[in-house]
Amino acid sequence: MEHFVPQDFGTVKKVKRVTENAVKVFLWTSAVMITGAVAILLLFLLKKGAPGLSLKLVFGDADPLRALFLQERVFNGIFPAIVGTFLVVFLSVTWTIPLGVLTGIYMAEYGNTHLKKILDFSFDLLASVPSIVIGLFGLTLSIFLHRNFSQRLYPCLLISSFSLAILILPYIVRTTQLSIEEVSVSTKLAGLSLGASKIQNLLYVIMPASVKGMLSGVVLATGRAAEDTAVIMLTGVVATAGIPNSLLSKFEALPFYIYYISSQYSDQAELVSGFAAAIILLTVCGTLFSFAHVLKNVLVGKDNGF
Amino acid sequence: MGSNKLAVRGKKAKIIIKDLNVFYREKQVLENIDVVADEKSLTCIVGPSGCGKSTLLMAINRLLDEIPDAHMRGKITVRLKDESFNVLEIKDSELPALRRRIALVFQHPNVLPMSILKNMEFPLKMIGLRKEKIDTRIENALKQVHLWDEVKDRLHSPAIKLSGGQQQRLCLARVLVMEPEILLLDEPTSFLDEGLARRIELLLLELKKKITVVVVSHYWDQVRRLADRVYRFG
Repeated sequence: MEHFVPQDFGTVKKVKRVTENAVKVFLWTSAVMITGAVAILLLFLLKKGAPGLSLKLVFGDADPLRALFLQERVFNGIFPAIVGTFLVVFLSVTWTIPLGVLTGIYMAEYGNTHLKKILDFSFDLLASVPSIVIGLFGLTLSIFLHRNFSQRLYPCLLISSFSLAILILPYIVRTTQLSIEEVSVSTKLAGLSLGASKIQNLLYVIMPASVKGMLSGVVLATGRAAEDTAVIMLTGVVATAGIPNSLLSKFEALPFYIYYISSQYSDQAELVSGFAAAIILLTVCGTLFSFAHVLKNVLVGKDNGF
Repeated sequence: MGSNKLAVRGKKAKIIIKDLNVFYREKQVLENIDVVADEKSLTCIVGPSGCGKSTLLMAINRLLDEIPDAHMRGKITVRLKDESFNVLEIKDSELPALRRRIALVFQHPNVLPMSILKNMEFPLKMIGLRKEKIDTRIENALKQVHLWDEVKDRLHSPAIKLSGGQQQRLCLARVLVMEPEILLLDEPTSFLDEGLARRIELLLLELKKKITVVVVSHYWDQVRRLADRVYRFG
């Protein structure tokens, strides 16, 4: 075999180093720019919204403690919207996780090439469907149910959470599939070589090794469900509904409140309360993320060395 | 394939491989392989890297089934508990049991991403063994591979944090707890220093008095010290 020997080794080396440094600077700049953009956004939000943050914004004229324990209804605060967001996100993630995780496992471990291609395409398609279209689907579904099954069925918490579930399904499927595929062949073989059946290997080796990745998918999906306005706007969210007392109730949600107040505000104070609500929405997302993080630590345990 | 047989008299064959062909997709990696391994003996397989030695080991306990695009043809007759059968005809549902009785240790230590203890418990938990039984078996196995003193105080720490040599011995101990009838070892001392390698060799010489051992190695010295029969591949 012939080897390529550069004529002027020194020059080649120098050019290589310059390019390498240029690439490094470029990558570093990109990273800093993104982090900077997020920081600026947060600072802007805090500056605009912080003055509006108060217990009154959340609980209105109601007594905070009594409102928190649902003893007193909150009329002019965003407490029902916070609860509504938690509920709708929690429900949609609950619907999606079993279905999404099982589909992801199937795609990674069992699907044959042909079927996998079809499924791959479908999920890419679903992921690219605009959320307003999914909202329209939810609306159509509720009209259909109303006409054909029960007059009591209107757009509601259940329909909203179901529609959001469709919206976030591709995220869960994809991250599950990818995180399972990422588990090294040698780890997969290790379990099987020690007498584990395929199912045992999946449950005791592959799933624990990929749970971290799966949960990051859940986090992503949670964030997506919490911020989406288009879907819920058409499927059950309203400006004032109080705390929903059943799955068939209408509900309030933070992103809708923010959207509503920022497009219809009558004075500066209302606009500030919109920014403040945005801060609260971020906090809600943060809380959900930390919950997913805690869940991850519980599930993964600390003895795996990752 | 040339084989240099130092016949072991008076011992029954435990593994008889006849006309084994293995392919990855279109590529043939093993062609018309014939290998015999006797009970209570140690058979060595030597040859350059990439000649399919490891593939042969994976064929014997059908782990090759789990490699995408790999398929095999031929006959691998194995005698377990005085019952002979062709490994290639075993149903998928019986593979876990087969792999417990024909245990394989890979060349590169593949500890599971769990604690040392959980790695050791893993094969036993798969068959639902009781906790009390598990503990003594684990301690014995770790002592056999001379790892017990190094890990006894940190059984709950991640196995991945052990050194390469420690991981290799852990992987060996992990199959010893299954008490297999046939032990397939792929370069079992590749990550060990001279002294430890010798101690593991002594263990193998001890083990071959009771079970059938097949070792892939490329150290001729080691082969000379261990083997009852040698096959040369490539």
